[in-house]
Amino acid sequence: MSDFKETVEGTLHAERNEKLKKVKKGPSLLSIVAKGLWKENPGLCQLLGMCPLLAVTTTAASALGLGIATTLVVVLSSLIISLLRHFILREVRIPIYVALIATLVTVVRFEVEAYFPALYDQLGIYLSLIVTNCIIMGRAEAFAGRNGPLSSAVDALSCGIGFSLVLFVLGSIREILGSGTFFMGASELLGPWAQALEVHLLNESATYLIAILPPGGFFILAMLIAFKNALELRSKNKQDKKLRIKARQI
Amino acid sequence: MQITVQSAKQNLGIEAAPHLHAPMTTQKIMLYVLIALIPAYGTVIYFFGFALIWQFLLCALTAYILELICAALRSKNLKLAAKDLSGIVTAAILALTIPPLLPWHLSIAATFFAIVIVKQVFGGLGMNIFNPAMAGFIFLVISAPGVFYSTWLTPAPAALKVATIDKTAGVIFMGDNPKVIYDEIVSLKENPDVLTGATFLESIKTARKAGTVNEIKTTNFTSDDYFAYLCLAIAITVGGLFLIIFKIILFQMPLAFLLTVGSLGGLWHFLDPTASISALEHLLFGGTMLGAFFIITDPVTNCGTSKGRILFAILSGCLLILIRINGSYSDSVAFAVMLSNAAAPLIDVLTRRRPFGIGYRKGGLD
Repeated sequence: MSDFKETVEGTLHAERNEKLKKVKKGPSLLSIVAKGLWKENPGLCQLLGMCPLLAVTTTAASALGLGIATTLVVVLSSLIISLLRHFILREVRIPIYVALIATLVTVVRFEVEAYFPALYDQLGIYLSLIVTNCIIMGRAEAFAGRNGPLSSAVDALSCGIGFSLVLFVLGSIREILGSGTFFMGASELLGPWAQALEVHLLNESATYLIAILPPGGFFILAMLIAFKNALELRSKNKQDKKLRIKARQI
Repeated sequence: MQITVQSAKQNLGIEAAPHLHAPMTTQKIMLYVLIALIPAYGTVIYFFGFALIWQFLLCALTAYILELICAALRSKNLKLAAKDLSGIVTAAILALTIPPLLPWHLSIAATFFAIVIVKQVFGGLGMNIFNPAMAGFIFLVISAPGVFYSTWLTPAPAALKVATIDKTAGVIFMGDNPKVIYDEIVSLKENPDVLTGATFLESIKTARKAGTVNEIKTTNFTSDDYFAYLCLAIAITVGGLFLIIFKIILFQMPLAFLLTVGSLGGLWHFLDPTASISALEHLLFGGTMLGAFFIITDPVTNCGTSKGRILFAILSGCLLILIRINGSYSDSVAFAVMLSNAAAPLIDVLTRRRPFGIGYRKGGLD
């Protein structure tokens, strides 16, 4: 009898230990990817990096260009910071992060200037302003400084891709509504094969110039955020509707 | 709730108790505003042709359908939403301000922007920060400047004989050339004074930028060219007086607004005739009169206190002159009103009245 009891207690103890270990291990890679791409999307949820988000999304091509550059920087910076996290003093971590990120951004900037001069002209100051982009600092501070290199890199990659997707969707909508074209300048970004992607969709008279002006960017971003919230809260709203007292409201 | 100075401060612009019950309902107010717009509509139709009717029908129908859809989406009572006339008032004012021959899809887009994005997204009737009609107007000016200024008409007496129902429908819905109707209306006038731009304010824009406004011929408001503007101003004033008599708007508001525009515009003209047109031209051209009686008096987007409303009118008058003389768009009523709308909550806080029963004197019983 007592033997049996001991074994039960033993397994329970072992299970608890296992659970504790799992908690210590941190979130699984899949949940990190889901968070970066959808649940905590830096563009739609955390609302980080608003300045480039609104400034360079007038065309899909430049939006994609900036998205790729940002993703590159955030992956490299997260990886390096998480590898160095045991050597970085907590008290001076911010200056060290900034120095690291600035170095990476400088490298990416020269790279883009050398190989994609047209894109470099289009992005202008925003390319070097990646250094102040809150997403990179945010990922470094909130994730890479506390987690291992693999999960940090996955987190940075999914955040970067999530941000690039938002940039690309916003840029596409603004370009279609504002200038009636889609993916103009893709061949300069991706190579001559992308010429086929450049489409002329709308007549000049059917476009709304406001879409490529700053207010249009805000409106469309707000619509995207509202759309995401509506999708996420759909089931909850359905339940709320069932429980609602049908009153004669005004 | 205990009434303290603090709690009175937190009531942004809402007057403290006691309140009186008024028999006037929101729907009645909207109906009276629609009735007050009839003289202005009649004048515009006489001088500019039938196109306005099409614009009104387009905007009103779109606004009504959109209001119903929004009410259904937020699961509000559809019967109450169907009785709501506020969307139609917005559409009526928007239709008056947009160019008469604007293509149909732009009118619908402007109405959509005004009703859905400016009004319903903020919470519907009574919740919007900005005047929906003016926001729709600005949306058009910014999004489609080319079409916007090529579809204006020039007024001529009895233009409705030329700009008939069929012809205007052809331009608005089928995309016929608006120039045909424009030329026919111009030929009605005996000795037309051809403007370089679509409207008077648009035509002086280049002169304004070059600082040569004083070289423009002074306008004679009894001539065929400009008589329409005088009549329109009178018609709008009649409608405005109707609203004042039924106590829907404060008479101080249009008065303060017109006085500000007139005196400031006159002063500017006196000091620098190369930059500003005369006070009368400031008052009669553009949307000044409509703004004075129908736009700045919108009960939702102006201040909550009477004192605040007068300050609001003065502020929008000052902004109107400032933007009209220095701005890059021809008319500025919409921009002035939107900027003042943004300032309205602050004016509310600054002009708050002392609630009954507190704060009589220092060290007194309160």
